[in-house]
Amino acid sequence: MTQSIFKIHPAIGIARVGNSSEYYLAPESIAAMPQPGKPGDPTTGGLPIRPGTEDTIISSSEFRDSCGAFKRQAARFRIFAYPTEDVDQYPANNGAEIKIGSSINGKKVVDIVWSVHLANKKCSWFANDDDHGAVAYDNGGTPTLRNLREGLDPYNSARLKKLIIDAGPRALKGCDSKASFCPAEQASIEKDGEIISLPDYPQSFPYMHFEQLDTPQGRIDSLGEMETDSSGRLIVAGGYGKSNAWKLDAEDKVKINNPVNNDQWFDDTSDGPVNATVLFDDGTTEAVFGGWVVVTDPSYAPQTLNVVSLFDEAYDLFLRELALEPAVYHQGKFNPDYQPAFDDHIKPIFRATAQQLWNAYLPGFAIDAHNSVDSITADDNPDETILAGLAYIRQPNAGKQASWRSQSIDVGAPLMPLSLGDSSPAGGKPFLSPTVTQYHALHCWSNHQYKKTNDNPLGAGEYLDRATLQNCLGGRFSPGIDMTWVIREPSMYVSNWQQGAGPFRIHHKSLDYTSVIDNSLSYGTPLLTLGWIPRHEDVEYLGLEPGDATKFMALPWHADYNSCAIHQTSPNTQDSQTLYWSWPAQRPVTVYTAQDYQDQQIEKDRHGLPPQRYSVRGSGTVPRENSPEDSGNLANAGRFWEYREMLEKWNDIGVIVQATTIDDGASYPDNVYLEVESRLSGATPNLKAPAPWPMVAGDKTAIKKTR
Amino acid sequence: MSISQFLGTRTQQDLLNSRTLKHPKKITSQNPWTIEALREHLQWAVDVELYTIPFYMSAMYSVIDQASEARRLVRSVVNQEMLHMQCAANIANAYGCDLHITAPHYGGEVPHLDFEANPNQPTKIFSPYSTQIGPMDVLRINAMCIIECPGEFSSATLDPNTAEYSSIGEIYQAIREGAAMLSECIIPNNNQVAHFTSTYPDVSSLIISEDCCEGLVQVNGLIDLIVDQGEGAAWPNDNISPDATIEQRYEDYQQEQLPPEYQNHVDDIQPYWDHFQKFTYLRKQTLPETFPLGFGSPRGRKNQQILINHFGHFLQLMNIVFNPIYQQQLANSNDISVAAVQQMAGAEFGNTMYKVGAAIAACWENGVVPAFSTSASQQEQ
Repeated sequence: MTQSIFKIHPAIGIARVGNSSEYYLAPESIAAMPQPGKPGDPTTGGLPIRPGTEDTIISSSEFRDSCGAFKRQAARFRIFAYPTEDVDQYPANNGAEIKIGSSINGKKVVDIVWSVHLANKKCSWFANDDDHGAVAYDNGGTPTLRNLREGLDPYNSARLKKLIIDAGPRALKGCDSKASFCPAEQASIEKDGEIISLPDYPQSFPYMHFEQLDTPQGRIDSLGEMETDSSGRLIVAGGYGKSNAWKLDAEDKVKINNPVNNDQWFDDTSDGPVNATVLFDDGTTEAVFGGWVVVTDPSYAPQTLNVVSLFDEAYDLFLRELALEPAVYHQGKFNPDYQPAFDDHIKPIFRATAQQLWNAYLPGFAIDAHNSVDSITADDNPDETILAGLAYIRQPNAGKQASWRSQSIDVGAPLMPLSLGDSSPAGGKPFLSPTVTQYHALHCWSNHQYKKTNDNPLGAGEYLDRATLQNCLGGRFSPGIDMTWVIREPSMYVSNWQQGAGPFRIHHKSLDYTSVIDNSLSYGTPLLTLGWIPRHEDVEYLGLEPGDATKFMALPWHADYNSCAIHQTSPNTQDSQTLYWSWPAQRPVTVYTAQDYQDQQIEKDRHGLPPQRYSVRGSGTVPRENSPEDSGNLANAGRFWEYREMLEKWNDIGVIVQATTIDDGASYPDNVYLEVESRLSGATPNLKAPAPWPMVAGDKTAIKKTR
Repeated sequence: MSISQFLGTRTQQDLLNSRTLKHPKKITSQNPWTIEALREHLQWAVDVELYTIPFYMSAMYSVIDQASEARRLVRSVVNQEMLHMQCAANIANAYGCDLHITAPHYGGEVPHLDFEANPNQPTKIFSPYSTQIGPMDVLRINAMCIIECPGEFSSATLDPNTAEYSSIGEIYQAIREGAAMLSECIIPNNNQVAHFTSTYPDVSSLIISEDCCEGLVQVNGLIDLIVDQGEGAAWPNDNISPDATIEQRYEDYQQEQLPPEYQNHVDDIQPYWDHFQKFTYLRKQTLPETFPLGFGSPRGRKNQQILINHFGHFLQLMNIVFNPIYQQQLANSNDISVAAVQQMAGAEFGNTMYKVGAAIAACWENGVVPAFSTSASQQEQ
């Protein structure tokens, strides 16, 4: 009989927090690119999907529920069956989705048992070390531990129990079933195709350990839900964007003073393994190569493609270090005959370039130039285009003469992308550059060595892997939004992917749930440990536990989202005051609002666009005083002066979507992307209106001049 | 819709054919200013500013390492030369000039200038040099130093016995004097272009928006900007040995004197330095690695032709953007409004400029020297 192997796709699913009990499904198409299977549809990819539908994208009013709350983004997982031959090929392009009721190899799928385990380990983990990034974990090292008041030993069980939010595992089977990651519901696992309850699983939430909690949007008492749809696919919705802090004394509000590391704080993002077992009508079962779900910040600009995405980072790693496509890259070199596909490898970079204007205030010349990049087709002679000679693309490797009086430098304008790179003096880059693989593809194109279309496209499941990660932020991992530099760590993945798992699949650490069942786990002892430590040979090969993918991120995430609008470069050895965007595609800084676009009283520029507004605006956003010489600094504009305000206003930020999906009754051209659904309000009369780049920091640079 | 669709008298081919340079007729006490003479001088100023841009850009893009000091310093100069071109054109339009912007001719004299007459003797100090388009090498760096070398002059020292000006500064000194004498001719807001304002927010005005005396203040402001960023602010004359060479004197002179409002703090790695200081600094450094020249591959030849085409189109656009008289002619001959002409040219201006830069880079990548006129391309073959 023909054999099959089974895999969950996407390999890494991305869910996002929201303060609504409702959710929409994560996008299954690539931002800014054509939606697959919808030729001629003017709406580009990246938009979330309406629950209960295959691929119906939501309209602008569906980002919020009827009460105005911001909906969560749920990740949808499917199972694909692949032939056992050629499992070491990528793309495989020979998988087929199976659902309950599907037949495969003469057998009928009668059920699928899904299991998911969500946890948040940020509070127990080490501080995010922007100065060193991944380097901080080299040679057995780690950054400073967060929450040292709770103990100096990171492995201490009592400490871990208090500081890890662990909802425990949940298992589901059948169609339209539900389970919640909250203490009111028992943990459960799959065993031999059956669901086993774990009533004694040591679930852990902050309120169980800290009597006095600061709860700006309520108590964290859930990490979300999971459910199956009518065909047995899995849907995982995460937390509600809450943040809790324990009080050390009678102080009413626990402070947040840092963008990424704040002791005493929890948030309800999470991550964990997604597993499944397929049950057949002959009583047999099949294990499935598992996936992973990451629950992270909301996506406020889902159709703005990142020039460098998580997929680009992961693909670059797998290609150059994990033998993904030896025909492309082998033994440390790109195959000189390799021809990237314009539609698959080149065009996304061009589309991403042209999308940046919707979230960042670009001068007219730059908009023209970006549009010129976007207009390049596979039929154009590269030498005649604006990107001839790759004159305006920043090379990924620092030049060997890149020194200025022994100081590290890099080049900003006119090189693209004009956004910030990994912020870290220890190997960090002031500016973002394409990955080595992206740059190589561009170089091939520039030398007329490319094909117009990919004759070996991804299969449907592989496309889900790619689309999911391509809609997430790559580069500038300080620490990032969805995942950080761990995406570049080989030990995070199933490295022998050629054995059937396929690429981009996180290596699950085996957890001994039976210790909960047979009571061999001491009472009060957490099942989860400190977990995966990158670059530590003694543990990194074991794989990831729940919470190990997001523990490197900012705590609470709101603080970093607030902070990372525009910054000077880092390193900044010349003390330049010029400001650049941190994450323009993922963290909109300035936007064109739909309301301004419609307003006939507002003067439009030669591109037909109104002046931009800050995405984060209104009360509390006027930069105040850091020192007598540094007040009202533009570097602090477009954010709340007090980090805490973001804890309660993140759900009021608007969303930038293509005009084709704006259902406010007004008429727009198809190709504009405008902000809708913002609830931020309040006048800021002293704040200078945003202006196109260049932006320069300094005392009172954000404040209107008085006569 | 492209501006190229509209008929004009200034065809790409005409603009790409370098004009035969007229040796300037220097203004002296025996040969006083007229508005025609001032306009002629302003045309020369624009010619000189344009001349530097392809020359410097070509050297810049020949450097392989994007992040090298050489490439970054020359880029900062190129950006300011574009600003200077805009400033010179703004002054020219303020005096009603009918600017003709045509392809520079490289390999011979720098238009309208006789550096041999510069008392600082740059051609002897910065030798050997070449004004052929070429890579960033000793010949080009020396030529850059010569072009930006300060002169020594004042209104009293404009030598009536020499036929040409000896430095860019001297041309502008002459223009300064002519402009003052003819300030009543200033036409405010006549086709003034104001890019770069966000890079130089503290410059009081990059355009001539006033007439007469107030307009003259703006004219002088733009001349100050050009000269100070280029060869540097006026030097103190005290405590300088009369026997010192220009380089020695420059080293003695306190650096970082560029007035704050003329400093580019957005993306210049040495905002305090003028062009001469940047180039003389580079001259003392190890030469950067440049793209090797090939043997004229067919692709390289095509790259040269692409560059010529882009540059020809850019010349057309500059003739429109910087010349209101030509804008009116185009509008009349095509029965469209001046505003439409301006809008179309403005929309293409930036992209075409970027394409010129990209095509220069592509020439070097493919082993050929960038070419800016058909004759130059043939010459290299």
